[in-house]
Amino acid sequence: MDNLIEIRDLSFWYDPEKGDTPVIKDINLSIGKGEFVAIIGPNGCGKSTLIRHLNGLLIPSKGEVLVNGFDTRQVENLPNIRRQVGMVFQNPDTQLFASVVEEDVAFGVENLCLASSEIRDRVDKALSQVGMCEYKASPPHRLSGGQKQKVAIAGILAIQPECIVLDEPTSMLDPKGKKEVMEAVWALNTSRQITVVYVTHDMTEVLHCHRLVVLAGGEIVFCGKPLDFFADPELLNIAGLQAPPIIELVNGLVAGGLELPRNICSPEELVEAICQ
Amino acid sequence: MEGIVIGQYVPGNSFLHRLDPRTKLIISAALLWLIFLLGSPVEYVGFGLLVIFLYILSGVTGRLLRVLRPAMYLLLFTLGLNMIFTPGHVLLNLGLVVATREGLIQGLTVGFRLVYLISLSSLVTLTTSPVRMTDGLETLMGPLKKARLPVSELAMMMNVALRFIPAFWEEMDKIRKAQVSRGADFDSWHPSRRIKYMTALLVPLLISAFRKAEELSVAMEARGYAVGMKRTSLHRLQLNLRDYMAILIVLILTTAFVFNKYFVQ
Repeated sequence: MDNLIEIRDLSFWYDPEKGDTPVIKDINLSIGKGEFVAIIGPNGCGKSTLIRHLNGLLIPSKGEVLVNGFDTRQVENLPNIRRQVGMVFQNPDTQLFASVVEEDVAFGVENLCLASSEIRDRVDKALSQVGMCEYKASPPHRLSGGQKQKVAIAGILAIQPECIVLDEPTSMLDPKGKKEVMEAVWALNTSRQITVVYVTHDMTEVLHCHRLVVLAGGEIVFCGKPLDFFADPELLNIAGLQAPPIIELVNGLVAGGLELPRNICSPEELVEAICQ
Repeated sequence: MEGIVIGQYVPGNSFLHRLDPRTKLIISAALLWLIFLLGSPVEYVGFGLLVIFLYILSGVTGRLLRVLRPAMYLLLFTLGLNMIFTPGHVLLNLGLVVATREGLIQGLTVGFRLVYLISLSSLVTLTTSPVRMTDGLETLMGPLKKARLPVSELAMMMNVALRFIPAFWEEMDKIRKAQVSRGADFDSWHPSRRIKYMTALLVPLLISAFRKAEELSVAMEARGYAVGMKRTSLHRLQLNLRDYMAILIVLILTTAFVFNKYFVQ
């Protein structure tokens, strides 16, 4: 698999002169094309700082970040990098700024200096990809949280990036909104091969991802299959995290003497395994 | 909180909605100028009918009263002031204050002008989405770019400011409720206490505004925006037949009116 993003020895200080401890230190990570990578970790572990390096919103204090070979430290690369790596943020209200949905989706494309007809095409396509076509003339503040986030995602899709980075996109949403956004993101990854970097606090959301990166105290403490992480109580303890309920249930059942396969990560799979 | 912002865009597909924003800006400028030329009561009534006709035409008639409501105190104030301070034929004598007929006429004139000004300019914002409006302003002010004026940036700022007005009302309401639940009394008549509570409202609001601005600027930057960049637009502004027709009609009406008023006698 080709690597889309290459992070080498990345450390970052917000205020280097003060000589305080770095927010993230010695991060080495590569993200392949078409991969779905989830990043988790306790509050203040540097998740947001890390992902803001992926499109040059933050510039490494030490080390380097390459996107398709382009170094984020070079200012002239930034337009190109931001075209390849789109970013969706936590609060849907502060990233939608047009008063009509389609105008907001168009914002990123307008920055690319395309013709109006091309912008129109891309906006319509992006909205249909997240299933928000019927709302294209509504004002954003009339939408639900989940719908707003989907519009924000469409705004990124319209730029046609290779990678979408989502910074806790569901943390301000209700369960229904969470589900909608998760499904939209997964659809992009599976059917359009868009690389996804997904930061979250919700452990159930990361169960199906290709690779899980766990940050604690500014360092990567785990990088691998999500089930391997949740099976390791010591690692969970270090990261100060808790396995999702379904995993805890399976572990409890196994401890209680039931024989179950180790790869169960949804209630349906558990029911099936028990019935066999 | 919705609709609290006067003249907030109402999506629609009427004749006025479909007009090019530039046309609307030019027409409204002409009509706003016309307001100050109105003289006789017949002209005032005629202009009022025109305003009502335009509201009906654009399907936002329901907003007319809502647009005017905030201006009501201003209207009463000007009416009262004019009635008292304009010398002339006494209508009502209350000892200290005297209301005059000339004052009443003067007050009504100013009042109606205010009403027309507010309702006409609101009609433009009611039927034009802020993005299109700023696009229109940007093209109209285009020549000023030559004078090194950051026209596109100003248009973008205006656009964002318009979008965030409802968000700030919401935020203010939230902070107000939070402070009330901690014992703040915003309805207090005591001036020093009132100031104290206003501080408790305005300081958090200001801080939240800065935080929002920060988040927004990061989101804009992440989507590839940079100050001074060249951009294109989803809606290509295009003057259609209806725009030329509308401009022509307003032009003829205005010229006829002015000609009739100042040259035919």
